[in-house]
This record gives sequence, structure tokens and C-alpha cells, in this order.
Amino acid sequence: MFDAHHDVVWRTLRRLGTPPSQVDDATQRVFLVAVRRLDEIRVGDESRFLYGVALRVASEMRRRDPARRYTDDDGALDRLVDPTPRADEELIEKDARAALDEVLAGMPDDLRQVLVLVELEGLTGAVVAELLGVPTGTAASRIRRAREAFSEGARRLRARLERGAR
Amino acid sequence: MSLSDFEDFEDFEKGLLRSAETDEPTAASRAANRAAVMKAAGLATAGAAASASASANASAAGAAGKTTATAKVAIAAKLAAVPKLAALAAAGVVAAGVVVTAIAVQGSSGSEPVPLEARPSGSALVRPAPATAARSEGDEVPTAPPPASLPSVMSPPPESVAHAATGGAEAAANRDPIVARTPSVPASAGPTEPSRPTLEPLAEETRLLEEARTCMDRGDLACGAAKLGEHRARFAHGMLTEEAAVLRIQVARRRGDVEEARRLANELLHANPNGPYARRARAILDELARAEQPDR
Repeated sequence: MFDAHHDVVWRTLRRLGTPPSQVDDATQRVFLVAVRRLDEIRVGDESRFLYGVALRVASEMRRRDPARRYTDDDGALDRLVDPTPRADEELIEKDARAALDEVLAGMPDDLRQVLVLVELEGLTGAVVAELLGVPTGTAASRIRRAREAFSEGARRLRARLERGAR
Repeated sequence: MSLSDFEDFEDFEKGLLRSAETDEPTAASRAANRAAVMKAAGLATAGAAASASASANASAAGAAGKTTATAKVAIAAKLAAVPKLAALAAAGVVAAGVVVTAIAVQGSSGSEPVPLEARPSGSALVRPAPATAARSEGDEVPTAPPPASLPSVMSPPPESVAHAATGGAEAAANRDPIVARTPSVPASAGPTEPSRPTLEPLAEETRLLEEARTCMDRGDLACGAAKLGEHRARFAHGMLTEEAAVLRIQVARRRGDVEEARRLANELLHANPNGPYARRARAILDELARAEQPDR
């Protein structure tokens, strides 16, 4: 279970806004909860269980230190619009991730959650509804609003970056 | 909704969303988290556990009065449904001298549960830990003693593996090549202190991959490739072979060797289509394909 789900848990926690320095800690917590409650987890249902715990752990972590914006690298956003061509694809990827996290950080918690689960983790609306304990209709409208909020955030970030680049 | 089309979004947004696909923890993070979770689960002590047959054994062993241990065994077996973990946990057990769990280990590297009896000896199936495995303080403590030699959260190299390799070498020899690997280091093995034989396979693997990563981070691909080559030579069946494969793909990509990167990614994907790196391998293959057809 650990090997099969570790990276997904780690990534989900990271995208849900857990500070980089605390992602490992948060990941361990998720699995420790899983260990304690192993008997309650139905076979085949491990990932849903882990997502559920990850959501809670991530909001806890954020509540503890809500003021900061968490990106891996402060210079990343500037480099994203740096016109100098770079050979290193990974660096570009990292910068794009910083931008992604910036946009996600600007979203309300409930919308960020569904965006991460649906768009980045590929869960269905029905599963998300169950995870969050809300009716399917509520989840569907939340997903719609989350996409809008993400697009809006991305648009604003892009405008800001383009202004900054000039 | 498929994972990587993001049909509802504009290109800029797609780019942001895609960037998340290849985000992943470092090998060190993974190892540290694994060690911490295993430790907290009581796995490294009761862990022999990891044997796929542990659950089958639970009732028999319970009757033998080892209920605490077997409860942990069951947890461990469920948590560590991966042979690699089984080996690690098994090593921990031998070190702790928990005899009852040690007998459950035989056959742990296979996928089929092997029905075992809870008798410590007598059965051809049962391979009790040799007396030497129960080290000094391990005076027949039925439930595991506090794991003095456990890896700390921040230092992935689990010492327990080393103890197992020394103390329980015979026991380990029949279980898993990872644990049983003899400390035969090529003379040209690199900057390791020559006086220290390689008794800590996982620690060694982790160190090599971290060094490879460090080389790559400073742009020294030749050095990275050399470290990865060393890893392959010494740990062809190691515990971090997939991590090494991912790094190898990165080296190939950064060298611009698309064919090699593609070949390695396919190899990784096919070696373990449901493994933790399958998604990563697919993302890389997608990217390579996209790069070749810029006008989508």
C-alpha cells in the first residue's frame, strides 16, 4: 500500500498547499492514520481512503500557517517569463509548477480541493462528492466554479507576468 | 476525464496543470517516509510480517500466545504488500530477534502465500532464525523490544538492515537477494571508505542515487550517469532500481538523446505498469511525443 500510493499522497498534499518543508511530515501522517485504521479500509478502497485523509491533513497544515504563500522557489515566476531560452526542461517544469501553486494558493480552500482531485488526480465528480460528503449536485457545481476560479487565477497571473516581463 | 487532456482549459492553463504530473518526491523523501511509517507501525520490529503468509498464520500463531506480535504481523503484511518492503521488514525482524515472526518469512518474496505452521522448527517449510540472529538483548522477547537500531525519520539508511545482514545472514540468504547480498564491492566502487564493506544495501543505494542527483543538479550529466552506472552494477536487483531508472531517463533527456529516453521510459513502464512510476513514465512518453509534433 505504501509504495503504491506514496507518490500520489505526496503530490496531492503538495498541491493542496502543504508547505514544501512539511510535505514529508504530512505524508507520514496520512499513512499513520491509514495504519491505525487499516481494518476499516475496504480492499480496493485504499486510494479513496488516503485521499480523504490527505484532504484533512492538508487543511490542518494550512490552518497552522495560513499566511504564507508556498512556492519552492521565489525566483521561479520571474524565470517563467524570462525570454532567454533555456535547455533545461526540468527547470521550466519547476517554474510552471511554482505558477500552478501560485494560482492554487489564490483559490478558496473548497474550490482548490475539487480542482486538485478532479483535474490533477483524475477523480470523478461522484467520488469527489463522496470524499467531501456533499451531494453530487453540490460537487458538480463546485467543480464548475473551481474551473472558473482556476481559469480566472491563471488569467490574472499571466497578465501580471506579461506586465512584469516588459 | 482523462488525466492529461485538460480539454476545458486554455494552453497556458494546460501548461500549469501538466506541470503537476511530473512532480514527485525525491528518493530520500520516499525512503524517509517509508522508514518512519514502518517504524510507527511497529513493523520494523514485528515486521517479518511482511511475509505474504502472515495473515494465514495469524490464528495458529495466536494460539501460540503471540497475539500482539501477530496483530502487528497482519498489519505489516497488509501495509507492505510489496516484496521489497517485505525484505526490509524481514531484515528488521531478524535484527530484533523475534523468532516467531522470523519463521513466517520464508517465501516472502513470492506472491503466493505459503501456508506455514507456527512451530519454530521441524517443518521443512519452516526456516527458523539461527540462534545468532537473536542478538544480545534479544532474549526471547516475544513482542518486539523497542527498536533501538531503527532508522530515524531523517536518515533513511536503516541500520536494522545492516544488522540483519551481519547477524542474520544465513537466515536472510534463503529469503531475498536484497538482504543477502554479499558485500562484494568492486575495487573501483567510488568514494566509499574502503574500510566499510557494503553491509547497508539500502543506505548505499540511497547514497548513490543522491550523489547522482547532486551531480545532475549541478549540470554534470557525465558524473550523474557514472553514479547511475555504478548503481546498476552493484544493485541490479536493488530496492531503488525504479528510482534509478527515472534518473537515467532524465539524464538521457537532458543529453537530448530522445530515443534512449523513450526506450528507458518504455522499459520502466513495462517493468511495472501499475507501479509508482508508471504515471511518470507515461507523462514522459507523452511529452517526448508532443515535442516531436509541435503543431498539435
